Amino acid sequence: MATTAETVPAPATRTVRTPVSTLRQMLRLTRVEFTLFYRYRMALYIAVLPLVFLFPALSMPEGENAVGVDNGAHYLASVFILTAMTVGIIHMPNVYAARRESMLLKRFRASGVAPVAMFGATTLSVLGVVIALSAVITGVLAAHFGESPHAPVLLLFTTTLSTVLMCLFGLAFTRLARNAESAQIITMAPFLVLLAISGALVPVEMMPDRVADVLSLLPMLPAVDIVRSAYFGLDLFSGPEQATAATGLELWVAAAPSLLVLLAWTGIAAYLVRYFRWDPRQGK
Amino acid sequence: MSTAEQTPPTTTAISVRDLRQSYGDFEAVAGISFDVAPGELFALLGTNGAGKTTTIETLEGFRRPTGGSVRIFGTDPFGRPAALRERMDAVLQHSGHFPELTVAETIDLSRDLAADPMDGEEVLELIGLTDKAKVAIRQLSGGQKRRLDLGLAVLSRPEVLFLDEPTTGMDPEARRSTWDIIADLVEQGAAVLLTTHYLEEAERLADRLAIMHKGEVRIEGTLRDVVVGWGDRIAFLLPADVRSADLPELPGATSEVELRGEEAWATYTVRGDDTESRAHHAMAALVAWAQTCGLTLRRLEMRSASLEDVFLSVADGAADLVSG
Ligand SMILES: Nc1ncnc2c1ncn2[C@@H]1O[C@H](COP(=O)(O)OP(=O)(O)O)[C@@H](O)[C@H]1O
Ligand SMILES: [Mg+2]
Repeated sequence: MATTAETVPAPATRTVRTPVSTLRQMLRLTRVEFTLFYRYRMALYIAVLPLVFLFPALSMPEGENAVGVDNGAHYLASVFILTAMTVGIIHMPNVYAARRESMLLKRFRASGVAPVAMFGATTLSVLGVVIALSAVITGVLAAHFGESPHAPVLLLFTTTLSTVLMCLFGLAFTRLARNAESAQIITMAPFLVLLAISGALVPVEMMPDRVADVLSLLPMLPAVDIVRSAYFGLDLFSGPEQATAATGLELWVAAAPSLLVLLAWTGIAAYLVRYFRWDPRQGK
Repeated sequence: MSTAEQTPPTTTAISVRDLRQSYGDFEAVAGISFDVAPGELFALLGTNGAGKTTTIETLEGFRRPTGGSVRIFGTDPFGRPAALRERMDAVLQHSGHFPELTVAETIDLSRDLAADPMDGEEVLELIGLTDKAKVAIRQLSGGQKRRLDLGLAVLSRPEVLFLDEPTTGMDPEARRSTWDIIADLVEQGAAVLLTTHYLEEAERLADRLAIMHKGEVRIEGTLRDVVVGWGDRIAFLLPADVRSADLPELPGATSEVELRGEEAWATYTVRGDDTESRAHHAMAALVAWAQTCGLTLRRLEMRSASLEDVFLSVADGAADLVSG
């Protein structure tokens, strides 16, 4: 075969380029994600959607439940997790299906953007939205129910962990969506299932023990249990009858098993993201 | 000239060996090989579905070969290893943007994601979108988007550049200035793999080219190699009283009578190793024959092949006759 390879000089040695680190790429993309959140109407809509979860709290009959917390406040604490779930599970497939279809993801990859930088940036932007909404929830809890968080770090940590977990699930679900429109339909199923297993709308106390035991191994209820415990400074992990006041380290220790369940699910979701589809042409 | 500190001189930037790529039972690329050196542009031409994009996507690291191997600077590109990320870039056949961002924001983003990028104004100037800097991507025309794609791919100053139909949708002027940009990059030492349906583009830019059909490379070489192999053509209106059997034998040529509309034409395809003078010898013999018969050959024409002739013969499946 005729080749001109030998006659062409080796490439001129250029100044060594320091590659842009994945972290810097991620932070740069996060900035764009925030810009897009307010320029892209659908994203803005998804970002305010969780506010509807506030209304049941305001219309609940007044009165304290078994653990001495107002019914409305007890429900409202679960909304931290419902918010993380809603934004994560709806926003991620919505934007990623659209970006895959438009070949934006492939272009980024072809020009050297690490997948972790893209996924991380969108997750960080979702986290920003969730934290802003969390501030609203905290505001309502404080102003309307006079409750302020007892263990804010545990609350923030769990909300963040849930957000990451739900974003990863959202990414994994993107595989099933062909485009942004079908993503919106497809995500309704996990959204409703996750809502149902959260123990937020139907209190676990009203479910058979078996069911409650299973739910405490699924990705929603453990998170809801932790944020309630963290918010009200109660160890609620052994059911409302055994609830005791707890603070600081005690709470973290009590929450450890539930945190482990969440971490395990995060691992599973991260693994599923390996099967993320980059190419709209590939497969069905 | 190579010293211990320098990286070992790489004579090939892109290397493809017996590459096979299947989608299920369907083999889209059926064992192809080629190399591209730094400072060289290699054009991959072919019919729709020939396997060009599949080949490029394999080189970009999106697909693992089902057979054979591909290397960029000696490294397997599959999974886009960090060592290659800074060194290659691409204009994909279809390429997406954030429709909500402006042109300038899009360029700034790509610059911030790349190491040592070109200046933003310079990029805008290069692709002729300076006056569109503040316009949202969703408002650009197809050709303008394509120019932006090119700008985004070159702003990282890649050493290896993949261009999959980069000028599709551009007006002739934009296409020409794109050619200049590409030629400059090659001049500066980039290895470029280009696919295109504009044969003029390949004629202008390609140092070497290959024509693919149904997953195979049917013809490969320099432009001259490729057209010379196809042969020179001599044709004239078949005189009324000459039957095809009466046409003379010409040295190194095969004859054929073909219909162009209502008219019968005699055509000769002249092939032979003496590519410089074969046409002359054949023509001389033809004119001598005409003189002997007392004929005037009307509308006599003689031409060497164009890339289009070669391409069409490949598309017809007649290339096997040509490449030998
Ligand atoms: N993801 C895919 N799944 C199945 N078949 C594919 C896929 N991508 C490409 N093909 C098929 O492989 C062949 C080669 O496609 P492609 O490489 O895009 O050709 P070209 O770029 O030369 O037009 C075509 O027949 C196409 O239909
Ligand atoms: Mg193609």
